[in-house]
Amino acid sequence: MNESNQPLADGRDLEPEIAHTLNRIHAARASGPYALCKEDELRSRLEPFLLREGVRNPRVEDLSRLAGGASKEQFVFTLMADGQSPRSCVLRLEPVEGVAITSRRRELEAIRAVSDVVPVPEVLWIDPDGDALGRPALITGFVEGVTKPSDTSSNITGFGTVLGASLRGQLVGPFFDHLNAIHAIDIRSPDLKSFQIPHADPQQAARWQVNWWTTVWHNDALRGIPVLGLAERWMRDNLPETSELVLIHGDYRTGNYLFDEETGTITAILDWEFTHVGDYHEDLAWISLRPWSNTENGTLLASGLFPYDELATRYTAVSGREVNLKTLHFYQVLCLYKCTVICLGSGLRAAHEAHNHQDALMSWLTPAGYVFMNELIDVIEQGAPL
Amino acid sequence: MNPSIELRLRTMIRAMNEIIIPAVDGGDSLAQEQARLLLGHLHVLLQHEGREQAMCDIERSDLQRLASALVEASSGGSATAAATARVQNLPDDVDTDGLSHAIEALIIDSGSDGSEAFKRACDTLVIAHGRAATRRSRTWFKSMGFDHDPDALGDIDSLFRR
Repeated sequence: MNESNQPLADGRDLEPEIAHTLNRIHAARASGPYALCKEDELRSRLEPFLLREGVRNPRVEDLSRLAGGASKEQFVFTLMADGQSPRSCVLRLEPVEGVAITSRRRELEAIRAVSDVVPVPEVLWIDPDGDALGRPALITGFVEGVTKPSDTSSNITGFGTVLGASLRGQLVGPFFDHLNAIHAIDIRSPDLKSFQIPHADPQQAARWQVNWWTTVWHNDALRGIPVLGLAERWMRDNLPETSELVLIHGDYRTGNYLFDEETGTITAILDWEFTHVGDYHEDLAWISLRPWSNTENGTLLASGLFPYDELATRYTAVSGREVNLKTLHFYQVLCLYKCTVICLGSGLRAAHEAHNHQDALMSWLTPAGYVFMNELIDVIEQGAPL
Repeated sequence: MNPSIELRLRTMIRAMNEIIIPAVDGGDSLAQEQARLLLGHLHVLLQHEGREQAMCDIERSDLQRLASALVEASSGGSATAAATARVQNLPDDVDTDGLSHAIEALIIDSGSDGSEAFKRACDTLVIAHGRAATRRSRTWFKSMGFDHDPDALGDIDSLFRR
């Protein structure tokens, strides 16, 4: 854990590792269109990389591209190696820009830090700067499971996923248990050396998040949006104090875990790229957002799993932590701002610059930002989100 | 006689449905997904055909009204005054991007030294503008299927009725 948490030279108080990543993206803005990674070329780079990583006589077989993955190029392959059984692997490769560009090193550290307490894909290898594979990349083991019932469809993974009463009953307990296990991780663990702790003052955790996402917006926005200006001002005027810092997943919701449809078991928690140290209310706020909730018989099911009204009591029951509704409200504003920025800022910018392998998807996803922005207005104006 | 954009979009949709998508390698899930995505884009473009400029004009005139109202209500210290002046001094032919960025900057900068009266007025004006703008865009893109309450929105034609 890096304890440095001094404000940046330009005065923004931002986690240094996040600032480094944002500067890296900004510096790449002038590069030309992103070239799709060719499978033959990838294979020719993968085998020497794996050899250097200590794999004996590696052979990459059945390399194929996966659909989905709005922020990464995704591939699956079978790794053959001397003295080892064939192994199914997943490779995620970072384009120049996308809905979110983050740090593969932090993703690796986060997954390894929690691997003893929650189900996650095994992290096998990393090419943090893309020196070997052409772009920053992370290779994990393949995990069986689905993100939604196989007989349903959704526009964005997790948007309005209907799980059904039986699956909900099986998944909701482990969903909170795993969240609590993540929040119980020692944030000063040497495994988390790319993460910094916002402990300069009680508001720094919230301020780092506001500065992260407002910086993304101001770097990426093609057009100004008055409501986002209002939200930025509101957040700066209402920064909450954080009583306890924990490891935040940052994208914890239905759609970002795999489960076994037969047993209702969560087989892996996914998408660790937003993980950081912060206030536990942030993950709770993310879970509660309406776009990945749904309504059944007039009851709003947060993340499609449980009645929204039970959020605080369920979390307190597993963690012992109290939920402060005013702090939760602040983080709901922050989370909706973040989602709006991802869609109307980063995704649209990536399409505009032709900096992603799925520009057509980036421009398709952009209008989802108006759904988040509509919720953002509600939450700011009404003082309560739902 | 030139073939209309509507006709050309319809012919593209038919080609995608009847020739291109059936020919995409069934084992290439990304190519399949992208082909279906293009088909979706074409259907939405067909709904928007001939009306995008009108949408842009509405957006611009709403922003101009918001800018005027904010300038009129503005009061506060030097940061707010400077941001207000930047909005006021925009050339008449400033593009919508420049106009919108200047408005957003004024709203943010008013947080440092805007008067409480201006901030309250600003909140009311921006939320009213945001509700109208968001509803308009949700309606414009309703057929993409993101909205959790699409029935509460009108159709695209409703955006242009006065």
